[in-house]
Amino acid sequence: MNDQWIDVCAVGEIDEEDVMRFDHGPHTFAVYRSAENEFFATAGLCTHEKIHLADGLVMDHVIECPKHNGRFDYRSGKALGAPVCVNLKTYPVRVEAGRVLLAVTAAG
Amino acid sequence: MNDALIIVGAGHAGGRAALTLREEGYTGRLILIGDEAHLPYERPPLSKGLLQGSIDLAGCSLCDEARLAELDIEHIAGNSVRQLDPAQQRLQLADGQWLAYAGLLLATGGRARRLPQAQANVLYLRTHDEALALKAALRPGARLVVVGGGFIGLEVAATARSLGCAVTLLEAGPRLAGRVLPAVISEALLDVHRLHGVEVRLNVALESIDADAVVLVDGQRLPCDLVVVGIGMQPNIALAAAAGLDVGQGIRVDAHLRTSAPNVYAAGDVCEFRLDGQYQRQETWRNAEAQGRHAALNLLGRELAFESLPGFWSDQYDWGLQTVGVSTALTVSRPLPTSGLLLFYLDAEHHLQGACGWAPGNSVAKDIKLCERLISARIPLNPTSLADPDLSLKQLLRG
Repeated sequence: MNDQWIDVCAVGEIDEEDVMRFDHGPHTFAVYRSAENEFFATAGLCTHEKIHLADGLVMDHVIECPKHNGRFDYRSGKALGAPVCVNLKTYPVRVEAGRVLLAVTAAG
Repeated sequence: MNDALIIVGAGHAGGRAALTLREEGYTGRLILIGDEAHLPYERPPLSKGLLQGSIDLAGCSLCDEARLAELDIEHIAGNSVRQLDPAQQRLQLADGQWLAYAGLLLATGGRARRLPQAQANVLYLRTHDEALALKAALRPGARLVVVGGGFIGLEVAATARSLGCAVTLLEAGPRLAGRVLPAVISEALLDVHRLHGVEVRLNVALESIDADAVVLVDGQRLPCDLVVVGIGMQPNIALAAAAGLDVGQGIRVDAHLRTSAPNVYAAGDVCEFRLDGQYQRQETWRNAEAQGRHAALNLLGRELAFESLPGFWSDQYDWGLQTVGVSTALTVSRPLPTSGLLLFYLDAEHHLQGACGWAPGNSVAKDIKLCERLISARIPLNPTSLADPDLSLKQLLRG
């Protein structure tokens, strides 16, 4: 593993308990900030019908897809029931000097 | 009891019910009967992504063959049910075979309502195969007349424009999607379609459809290569009606989605259930998903009342419409920073009953999801502050 850390945004650009879309090359990600002020990242598209998750609602560590209400725990990527059954990929995130960084090596 | 659970109708509701039965631990014989040749699939992409080629049948399907086999769901495809014998708890397939059931779900859906006029070059859109036929006909430069300004007509018009067709849309009523949308959203839809070059004609009536033109009652001829008719759905109730089940505009059910016959349930587009005391049907993705799942749980003896909120979405060009709940006379309108619009529907006690939003992309989804939670929370709201786009709905919900 030679993780490549990519600059996503300043910490303040994502509201608390919200999500932001982040595109990098051919990949699209959803980057989350929890109510506890922690940051997480998952694949950007819902595993159900490839809708951008960043338009969905974040509450209580759950992202709900904007279209079909598929729900995932964004910390683990776990799908929480129909209509979604395939988990989301997750990506390492860290905060450094007020910036949110994402490791994209594992992106697929 | 060795008899099977049988689902008639292998669309979205029927397919979801079958999957749910297995996920919830039912291990007995499970038969899913459909008259289409395909695996259960979701219909919303048919008028958009499937016509554009960005999604195929596999992408719309609820599961693949391998998953169906793994779950031991017997899928009888391309076969319809000839008759139902509720007294004996059995049904007969078109090929003559009788099957006995311990529990039955009717998820027979509907078919596109046909025009009475003689029809050359007329296409309808309800099934995957109908969508493929339409896809083949939507060539760049083709002159298309869309009959019907409801969601099928509007989405086909939008997709056809994106594919380079010349589009005229005819609506008999005074505004677009007038049966289900408030006037201000109908106006917004009209604007976006005209902006994208659709010739929208309201308050028009058809005289005939010729091989090369649509003729209006006032004598105007609209030359065209192709006509798509989207004037609603005809629920498939004949099987239930012939068996003596209580039917209205659909198969009637009680609060548990039970029909008038023992151990027979109904779900999805065909299901006529009471919402706010009125019998009605919901022809939506959301209803197929929720009722399919719900009927499965009750087939397993859960005895749950169906209380899911109605809702739907529609995508046209790069705009999205979403609704949840029901509309009321007390409407509060909130402008959105995206130049979209969010309408709140309140009851006399200022509890939220429904919401309807129209905004670019899926950007209205967060607000609609928060509205759904606000409806359930039954928090009295202040109409004046609701109109203010700076008031956070999430904060309201959190108290």
